[in-house]
Amino acid sequence: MSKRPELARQAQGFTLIEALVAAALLGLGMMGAITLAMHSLQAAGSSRQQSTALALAQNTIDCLRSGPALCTDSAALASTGQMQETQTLSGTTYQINGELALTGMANLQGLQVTVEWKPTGTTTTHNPMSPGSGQIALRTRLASIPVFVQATTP
Amino acid sequence: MKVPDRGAITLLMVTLLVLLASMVGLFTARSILSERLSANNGVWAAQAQQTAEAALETALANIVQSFSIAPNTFWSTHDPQQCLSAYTGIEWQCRSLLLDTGWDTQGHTLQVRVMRDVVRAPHVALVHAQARHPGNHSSGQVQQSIYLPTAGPIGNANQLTPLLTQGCVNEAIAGSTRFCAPGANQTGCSGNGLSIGTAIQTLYAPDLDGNGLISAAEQQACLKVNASSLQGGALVTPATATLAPNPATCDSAVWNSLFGQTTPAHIRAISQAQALKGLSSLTQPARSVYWIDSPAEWSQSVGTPSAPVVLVFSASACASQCPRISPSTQIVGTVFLDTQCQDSRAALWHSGSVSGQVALPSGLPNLQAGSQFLWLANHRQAFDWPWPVNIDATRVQRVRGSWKSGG
Repeated sequence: MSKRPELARQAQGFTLIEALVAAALLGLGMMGAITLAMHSLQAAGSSRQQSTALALAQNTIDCLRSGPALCTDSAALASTGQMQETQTLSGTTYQINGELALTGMANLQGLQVTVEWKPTGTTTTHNPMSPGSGQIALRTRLASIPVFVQATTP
Repeated sequence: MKVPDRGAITLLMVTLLVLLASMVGLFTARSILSERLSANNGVWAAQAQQTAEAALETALANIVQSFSIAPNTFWSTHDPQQCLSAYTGIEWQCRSLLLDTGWDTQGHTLQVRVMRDVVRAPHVALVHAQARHPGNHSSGQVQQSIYLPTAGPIGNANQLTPLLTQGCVNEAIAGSTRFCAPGANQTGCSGNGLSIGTAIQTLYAPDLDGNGLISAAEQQACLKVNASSLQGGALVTPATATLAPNPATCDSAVWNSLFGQTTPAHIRAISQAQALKGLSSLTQPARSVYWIDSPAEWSQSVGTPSAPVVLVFSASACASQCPRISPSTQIVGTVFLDTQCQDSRAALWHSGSVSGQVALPSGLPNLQAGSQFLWLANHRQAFDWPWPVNIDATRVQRVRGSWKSGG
């Protein structure tokens, strides 16, 4: 008659321990998942910033190639050899710098466009082209060779 | 359910939940990693593309420099390995262009090739640049066509006659030659005596009486060709007196009227390029430009009405006398004799049978029996390469709309 309540007490004790273990496991698991999610979000943000910066750099080079008629920045670049522009997109501010350089040939110039931004998170790396670096540089050259445009009558 | 089982079930459920959360986390991380790799690849690809662009621009600047220093040596080589797969026909001349390495290629290896069609468009080059990065396996390529000063537009001055001279013409034996002037619609000679165009035109006839005009008698004295040879074709001389061609300062009036802005150096270089490529009358396409320095008699029939040729017998070939064309030889196209304004160098010449036009900056005394001059309207096709109207053909210029990225 006296064994039944003792067994019940023992069973209740086991359930409590199992619940504690389960809670600890759940906590650990969730912590890991949350950490992973945070890193993923940060990486996704960095990649988005890098892609945006790349698009800005390419747009700037294409624009500067097209000349002053289509790109107002090219006029400044032609006169001073440098141009600067700031754009804020999706909460990130991008600093765009363009610079002309001499090449040793009269009809050829070097052009470097650098886009800088403050990267998401604290990831840093020595590779200037990696997403966490906050900088992208594209280098190209421009030759001043005319395009023949045939005169047409309206 | 027994009470102890509930604990085990709870543990199992929690473990499953943790596993599920871990799997979701892992897949998310993998997706983010792919996105990151993709973003990186985008940067590498953009960098390779811009490096290829830089190589193309450097190549164009180098080509401008080459043509300003030594315009006729740029195409003195051919390397078939440099021809892209779409340009492997015998008419394509290809070469590589080595660029200076004094600039930051960001680890890319560069390859620049220049190609041109030496028959249809020797004045247009396709420049193709490629940048490869051995580390990240990115590559970019870009191409653009440019006009080169390797030829020029032929111009509008076109004398519609099978024989254009800058001096007098006479037959060695009267009535022994044959001229076929342009027909009524200037498409070709009829050869039936009903021709109405010009059989012979000279840009110079002596003003014998010194009155400043070239009379009919003076015209007949200069162009002494029997009517039976002319087959109804007309003789044309200037209406007024012109300066006699001076061998010491032989001008290029005849050359210019025929070739326009294309110079003898251009023709010579294109002829050499076609020979370098192994083009001949038997290849497809056939050789179209012949610059001849040899004084030996010419006995090769070349040209067809649909693919006429141009033969230039140079001053070297005509050093003593211009080479005859064998009586049985048929030339379809244009023949130019560089007599240096000396009638003696064209004396006793035989034309074979030329369908097109013969031109020379002197007279043609004692033209040999059997010579035939038959008009062909498209005789300048071999050197009438397509040029935009009003272009300055002396400069390297980009062909509008020819820029293309990728292969």
